[in-house]
Amino acid sequence: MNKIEDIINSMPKMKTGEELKLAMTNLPEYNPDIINKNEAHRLIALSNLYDIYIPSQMSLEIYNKLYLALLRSLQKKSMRKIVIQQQSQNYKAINKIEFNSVIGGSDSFTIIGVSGIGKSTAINNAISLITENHIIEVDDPYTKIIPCIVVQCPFDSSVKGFLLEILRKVDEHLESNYYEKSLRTRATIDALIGAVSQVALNHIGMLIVDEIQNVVNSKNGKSLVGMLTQLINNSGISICMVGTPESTVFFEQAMQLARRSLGLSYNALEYDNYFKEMCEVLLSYQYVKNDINPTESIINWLYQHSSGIISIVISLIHDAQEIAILTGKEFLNIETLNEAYQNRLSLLHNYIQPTIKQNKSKPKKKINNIKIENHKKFQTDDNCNITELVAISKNENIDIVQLLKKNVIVIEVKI
Amino acid sequence: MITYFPSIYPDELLYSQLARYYQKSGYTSYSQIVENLYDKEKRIRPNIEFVNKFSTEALQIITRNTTMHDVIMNHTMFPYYARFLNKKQRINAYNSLESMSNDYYRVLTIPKNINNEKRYLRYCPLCAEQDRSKYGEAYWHRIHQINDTDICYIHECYLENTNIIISSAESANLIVAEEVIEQNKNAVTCNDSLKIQISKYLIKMLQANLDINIDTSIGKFINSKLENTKYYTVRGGRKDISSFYSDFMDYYKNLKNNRISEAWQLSRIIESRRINTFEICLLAIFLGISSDELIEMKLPKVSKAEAFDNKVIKLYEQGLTRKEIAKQLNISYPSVVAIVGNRYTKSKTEKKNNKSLKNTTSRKPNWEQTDNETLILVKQIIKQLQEDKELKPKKITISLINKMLNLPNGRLEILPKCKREIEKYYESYEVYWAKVIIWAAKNILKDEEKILWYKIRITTGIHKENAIKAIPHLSQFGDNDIVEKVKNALKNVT
Repeated sequence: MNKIEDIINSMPKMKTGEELKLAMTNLPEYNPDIINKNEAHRLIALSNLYDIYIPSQMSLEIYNKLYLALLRSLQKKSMRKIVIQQQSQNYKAINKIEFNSVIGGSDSFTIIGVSGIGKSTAINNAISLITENHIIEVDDPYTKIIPCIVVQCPFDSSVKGFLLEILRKVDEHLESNYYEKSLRTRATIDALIGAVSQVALNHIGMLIVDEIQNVVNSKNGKSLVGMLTQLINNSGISICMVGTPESTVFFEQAMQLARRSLGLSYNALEYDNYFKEMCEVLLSYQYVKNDINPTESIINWLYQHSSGIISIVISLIHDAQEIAILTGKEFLNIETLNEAYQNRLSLLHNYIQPTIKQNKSKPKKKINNIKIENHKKFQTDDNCNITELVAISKNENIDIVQLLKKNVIVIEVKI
Repeated sequence: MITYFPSIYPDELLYSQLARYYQKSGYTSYSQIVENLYDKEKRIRPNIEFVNKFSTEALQIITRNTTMHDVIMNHTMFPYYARFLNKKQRINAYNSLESMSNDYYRVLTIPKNINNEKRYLRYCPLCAEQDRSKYGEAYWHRIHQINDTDICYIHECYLENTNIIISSAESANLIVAEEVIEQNKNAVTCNDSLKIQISKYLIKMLQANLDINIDTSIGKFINSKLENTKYYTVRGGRKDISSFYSDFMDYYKNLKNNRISEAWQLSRIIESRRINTFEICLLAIFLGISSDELIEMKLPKVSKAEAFDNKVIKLYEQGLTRKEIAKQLNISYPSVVAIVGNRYTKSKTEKKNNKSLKNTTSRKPNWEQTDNETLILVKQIIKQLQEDKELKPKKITISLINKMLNLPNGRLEILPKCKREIEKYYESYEVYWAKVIIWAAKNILKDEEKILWYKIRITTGIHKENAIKAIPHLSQFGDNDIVEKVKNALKNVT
C-alpha cells in the first residue's frame, strides 16, 4: 500500500546534461526518398517540420525549474498532518467560516518570453518528461494526483471562470465531476476558492497558467493574481505563469506581485551556434526535389527575417518548401524563402526586428533651427551632392540615412 | 467518481470516516456527496452507529484495503449490541448489515432512550488532543458512543456531549469531529472506581473479537456461574432470586443508570429472555466473571446439577440409604428421593442398568406408609408452586403433582391422603385462567408497557373466548386498576 509520505519516490529521476538533451530532442523520421514522391505526399510529410524539437538552454532551464517546482509541491503533500490541517481550513473557507493558511505557499514563478520562441513547446516537453504522462495513485489516503495541469488565463481575467476551468481540467484527467457539481450549486467565488484549493491540495502537483499577459489589459487582472496567491497559500501547490513580456509591466506594480513572479525570462535567440545548428537540422528535412544547400547566407537570411524567433524560422522553411512544391520551382533558396516571407508572413513584418538593425523609417521631426549657411552644393570627397543623394534614395527606394553614411560622416542623435 | 478518500483510523466510526471524506473532498454541499456515496438517494440520513445502503463505487472504496466484515466488526457498534444474542438472531443481524439493509434494527437489542432523552455524539477531550497530535485531526471514536457509560476508560475522565443528536429524525448531514470538538477543552476526572471498571468492561464487549457463530446461550453461561454461588441450592437446581437481587442492588446502589429494578428482570437475564449488554455486564461484574470469560462464554462440561446428581447416585450405589445421603450432603430427603426415586420407583441408575432396587422384598407394599411419606413431598411441591411468583402459575392437579414427583401413572389416585391434599387446591379453569391473566398483566406493567391483549395472549397462551370467561374472577387476583386495564384490553379486541 503506497502512502502519501512516499509520493516523492513516484517521481522519475531528474535528468541532466546530455541525457536531458537527448530525452527532450524530437527528430521525426525522414526518408530521403520522399523527394521522389508526388506533391501530395511531400506536402503532407512537410508538416513534420513542426514536430522537430531541438532543446536549447531555455528548454533545459524550464525542465529544471518545473521539476523542482513539482518536487516541492509533492513534498508539501507528503506532510500528512499539515495537509490534514489545511484541508480542515479549506473546509471552513467553503463554509464561509474564518480560516487560516497552514500549509504555506509553495513555488510561484513566471516564464516570460516573446511569442513564438518555444515556451509552450518547452513546457509541454518538460512536463511530458517529468510526469511520463501518468497520474500518481496513492492508497493511503486514496487519491489521484495529476502532476501538472495547464490552464489558459481567461481573456477577461474572470476569477470564477478561471476556477471553474481548473475544475474542468481536473475532471478531464480524473473523470470526476467537480466542475458539473460546482456549476449546479452556483457556488460563490469565496466558496469556489475554498473548493478549488481543496481539489488542488488533493489532486494537483503543479498548475501552469498560460497567456498570463491577459491580466494586463483587464480590470479583473489584479483580482485574478490575488486569487492565485490565495490558491497557492491554501493548497501548497506550485504555480507557473507563462506569458509574454507585456505581463512584466503588470507584475512590477507591487512588491507582492513582483515577489510571486520571479522566474525565467527569455528573448529571441541570438545568432549563435545553436541557431545555426537548428537551421541546419531544419534544412536537412528536404521535401523539394532539388538539393538544399544550407549556406551561411541562407542561415543569416533566416535570422534576419525571423528576429531569432524559432516558430517564424520553421514557418519560413515550411512555407518556402510548400511554395516551391506548389509552384513547381522545387528549389529552396533565398528567392523562395523571400517569397514565403513576403506573401505568408506579411502581417509579422512590423514586429520582426533582427539584431542587425534595420532602422524603420521613423517620422522625423522638422528641425527648423538648423540652417544651411550657404546653398551651394555640399562638396564631398566623391563630389556627390545631397540633392542627388535624395533623388537616388527616392528613385531606388533606399534609406537616405544609409546612403548619406556611405558618403559623409553622419552622427545620429536620439531625441 | 470518488477520487479522494481518507483512510480509517483505529476504532473510528464508519460515519466519521465518511464525514472526513465530505470535509476533504472539495464539494461545497452535502447533497453533492450523497450522490457519490448513496447512489443518488438524496434523502438518505447517514447512520451514525451502523451502515447505510452504499453505492457500488462507495462500497468498493470503503473496502478497498479491508473487508466488509472488518468494517462491521471494528467500525460499527454491532459487536456491542449483538454479542449476547442467540446464534440465529446474531447471524441475521450480521447478514443484514453486510447486505446493508435496515433489518438489523429489528434484531439488535438497542435499548430505547430512557424518558425519551436524546443521545448525542460524544468525545473525550484528552483522546481528541491525542488524535490531533498524532493525526492532525480529531475523529469520532466508537468507544465513546456506548450509551451505558459516560467515562473514557483510557483517561478515566468523563465524556463530553456535542450537540449532534443521534437520531434518524435529525436532518441529514455528515459532521466531522474536528469542526465540532473544542480545542484544549479541560477533561473532568472520574474518581468512581466502579464506573471506571464498568466502562472498561463494556468497551471490551465492543472491541473484543466476536464469533457470530457462537452458540452458547448467555443465560446458560450466567447460570453456570451462578450455580457455584450461595444463591443456588447445594444441588444447583434452584436459585434464591430474592437474595441474589437484594445483593445485586446493594452492590450497585450508587449506580444511577442501573435499569434493573425488579427481581424478575434478573431472572429473565438468566433465562436469556432479556438481552441487554449493559445489564449482562453488570451481572457478570457482580458475579466476579472476568470480561474474557464472558466473551468466551465457555460452559462447564457437566452442570452443577448433573454433577450433584451423579454424586448422589454414586453414594446410593455404594450402599448408603437415602437418609444417610441426605445427611452427608446436607440436603433434604425429598431431594435425594427425586434423584434416586423412592423404594417403589426405579432410580435413574436402575433404569439405566436395568438392575433391581436394593432391599426390595416380596412383601406387600405398605400403602399407608407410602401415603404418609408421599404426602410430605406433595405438600412441599404444592408450597413451591404457590410461592413461585416468577414463573407462570400452574393448575394444581393430581396429574401435575404425580409428574413432578416422578411417580408412576395413577399412583396418587391410590394414595387417599395425598389425593385429598391436592383436591384442597382445586380450582376451575375459569379461575385458573383469571390467575394467569393477572400474573401476565402484572409482568407487563413491570416492564412499563401498556396492557394489550396480544401481549397477554403471547405470554399465557389463553384464547380470547376463555379469557372472557375468566373476567368475573379477575378481581380475586388483582386490584381494581389492573382488572380494569385487562378488561379494556379485552374490550378493544372483542
